[in-house]
Amino acid sequence: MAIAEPLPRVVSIDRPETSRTCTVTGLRIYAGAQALTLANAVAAVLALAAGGLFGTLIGLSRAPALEFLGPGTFYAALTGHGVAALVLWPIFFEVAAMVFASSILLNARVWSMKLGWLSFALMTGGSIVLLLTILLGDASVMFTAYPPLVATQWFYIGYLVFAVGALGAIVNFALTIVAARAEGAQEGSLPLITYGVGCAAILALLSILSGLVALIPAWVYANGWTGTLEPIVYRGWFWGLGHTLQYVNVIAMVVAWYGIAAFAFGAGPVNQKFTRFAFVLYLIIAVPVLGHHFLVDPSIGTTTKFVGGTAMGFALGIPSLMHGLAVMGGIEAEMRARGAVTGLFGWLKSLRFGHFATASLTCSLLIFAVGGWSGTVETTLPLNLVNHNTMGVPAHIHSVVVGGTTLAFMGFAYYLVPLLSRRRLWGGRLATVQAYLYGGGLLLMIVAQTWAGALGVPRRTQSIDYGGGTPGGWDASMNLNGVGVAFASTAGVLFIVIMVATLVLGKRTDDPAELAEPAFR
Amino acid sequence: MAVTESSVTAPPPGWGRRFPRDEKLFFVVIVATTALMTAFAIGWVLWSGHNVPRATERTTPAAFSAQVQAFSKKYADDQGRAWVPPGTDAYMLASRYSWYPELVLQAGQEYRIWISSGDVLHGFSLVGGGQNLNLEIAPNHSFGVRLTPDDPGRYRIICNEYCGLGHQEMTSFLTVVSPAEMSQHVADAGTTTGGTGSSGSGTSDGALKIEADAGGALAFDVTELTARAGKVAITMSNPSPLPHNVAIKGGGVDVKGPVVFKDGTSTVSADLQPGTYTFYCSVPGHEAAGMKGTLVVK
Amino acid sequence: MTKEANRRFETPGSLAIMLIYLAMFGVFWLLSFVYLGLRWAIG
Repeated sequence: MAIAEPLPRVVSIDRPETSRTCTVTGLRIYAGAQALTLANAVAAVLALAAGGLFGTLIGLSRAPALEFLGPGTFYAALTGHGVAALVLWPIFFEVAAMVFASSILLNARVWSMKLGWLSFALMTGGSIVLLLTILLGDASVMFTAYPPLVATQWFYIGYLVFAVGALGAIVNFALTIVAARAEGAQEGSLPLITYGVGCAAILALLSILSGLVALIPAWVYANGWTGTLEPIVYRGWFWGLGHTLQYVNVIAMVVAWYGIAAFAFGAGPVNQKFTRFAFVLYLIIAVPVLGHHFLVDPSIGTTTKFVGGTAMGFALGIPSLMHGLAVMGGIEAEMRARGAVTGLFGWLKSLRFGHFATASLTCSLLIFAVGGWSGTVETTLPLNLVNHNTMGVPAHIHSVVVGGTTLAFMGFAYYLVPLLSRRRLWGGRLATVQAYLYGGGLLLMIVAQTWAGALGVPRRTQSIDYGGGTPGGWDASMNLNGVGVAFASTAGVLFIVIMVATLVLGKRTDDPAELAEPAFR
Repeated sequence: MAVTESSVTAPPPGWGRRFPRDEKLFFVVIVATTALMTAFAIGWVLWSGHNVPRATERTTPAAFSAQVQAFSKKYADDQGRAWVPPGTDAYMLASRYSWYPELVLQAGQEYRIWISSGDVLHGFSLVGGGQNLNLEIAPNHSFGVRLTPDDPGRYRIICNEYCGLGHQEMTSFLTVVSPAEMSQHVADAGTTTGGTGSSGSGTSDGALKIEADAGGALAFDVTELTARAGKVAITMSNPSPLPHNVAIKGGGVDVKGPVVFKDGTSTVSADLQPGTYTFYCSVPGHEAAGMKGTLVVK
Repeated sequence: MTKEANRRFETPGSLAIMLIYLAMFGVFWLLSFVYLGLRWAIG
């Protein structure tokens, strides 16, 4: 294992660091890596809390039976919900995953703790600036901030600072892996989780670069230093950031699926080639799909819209379907190897559905599957006519990002946080209740929002009264959505409570049975 | 970890294993399904009549606004509704927070409606009468929508692209009338040059003069006016591409001037007793955004 | 048929679930075109 030549200076890590050996996984965990992972995970949970709070307010207010927010407050809260829930929460969590997958999983040290903490500081500082401008009502432009709508210049600055911080984390991720291999800590193929997170990191790099091209001119325009900013050009660059970022979230979700399957069932994919090929397919196809944001825009050719939005959108379903089979298949193969061979579905009986891992993984797979259907419908060019900017769009978004990614992250966090902090998960079966309640509430929301969208109810709108005489079913569907929001929000609060309580009150332990309880019989 | 190739957390020993049958079969099925769906969608786009409009033009808020003004001058009645004879292209301007003018179409006729924005992005959404049609409306671009309405009725239009704090007030209607009603109206209208064009009759004899913000902000250039009791007239000139008017309310008075576009003039007058009144723009959402002031009559 | 599947495939249960999902997915997608026709407003 000795290295033949001296390491290139830029990559070598020149600092002493303490480490411990994890009693559950046997991995070598360095102090810096652990601290940086946990810090980003905590920031992610706080961002989720903010996003969830905003979401609860607007979701309940959009029920016509309740409607309690005026336009000023509603649109500010909606902007806050978009920024905190769709940008801050997933990216902080993905940075935590990047640190984890490049260092802890490889028994290695983070390449630069200074860069790690600097990135964290920039992301945190940018988040605070963003949220403050929104709370002050100076940035009610939605997280998309389409010009000619403008916000205070500090909004764009907050976004840009956050983006630069994330860039730093990506650089650190890449160099940590290079250093780990150069130092001999890791050899051969990268573990699947690292491979997947690496694909996510590449897409994240592309999306952030696109975002800089979109947001810097927007900041200039917001200051009044230029006369015009063509909105369709901005939309192009923004969605180069925006939709590519959603595929970062999808890849990270899939990684979380495999992570949960590994911890809970001792399962891995049946075939590595199939799984890794599926990850690479995301990389190849993801970027052009931003075209589906332009399906009913003027001045863009039908061929461009069809190829970018529809054809590539369909193709992007292929890797997700592959992973669906691979994740479930891995669990099934493991259960069959342990003796569950009755019929087609006998292996399901070996799974403990009362365990949080089975609960969150099942709900995540199921709801993401629903989202895959709605996404495919909405990305089909002619079908977008009846979907664009209706509640059908939030129905899709909440299926894939909340039901899919957020639930998967929650399930993974229920393992990651106890293992890193060496405290038992607080609340016992509460985590299972949380997962099913969240999933159930979300499903209700999705049904309601799909119904509302089919009737033409608009998204991003404070009130659907319009002076009376709106189509039948508008109020009923949005009231039903409010009920779903109430359940999902309760479960969201429960997640935050469990996480905080684990870190503060959780029983200190090194016992594998307490830190990573298996989820099968 | 008996049969799975390796754990997801440790590197795999080697990739030599061939694809299992399940995954091969599944991969073939999903690729075939994707290809079929793509072919079906291409066929639909090429051969069905149900598609996203392809006619678009580059324009500017000022230029499009001028077209809307010319169109409404010719066809609009004094309620601000434009009756569109068959075979005529119609124009509609989206701006914060209104759709202008309200179009009246003849049932069974094919029309082309040009829609653009005078300020920010808006979302044209036809939601009334069992319809659900949505298009993105951008400044500098116009969409030419071809439409053949079947049944007479009033179909609600709303905006579904967030455009500001008055977004939820941005609603209008598409009215469809029978051929008999349309020809009746055309006959009645005769040779009158229509209602909502500029009404710049004599800005002389002491009429109060105000101006709408040229840059498109929802505001007048003054917020306080004073006048002597008796006949009070306010004349507003509009240098912006957005629709504006001037109206007076208060103390039992409620009068509105015609809505005008770029370079138009709108005048309103009323007999006022001493007191305090409000002058404002009655285009939906404009007064709430601050386009108003106090008129003190002594 | 189940015994056949269990012999030919390593993870027949998962394969069955995914194929059923794919079929439902296709049906719902096609039904959306029917819905488009019902909500038709432009030509």
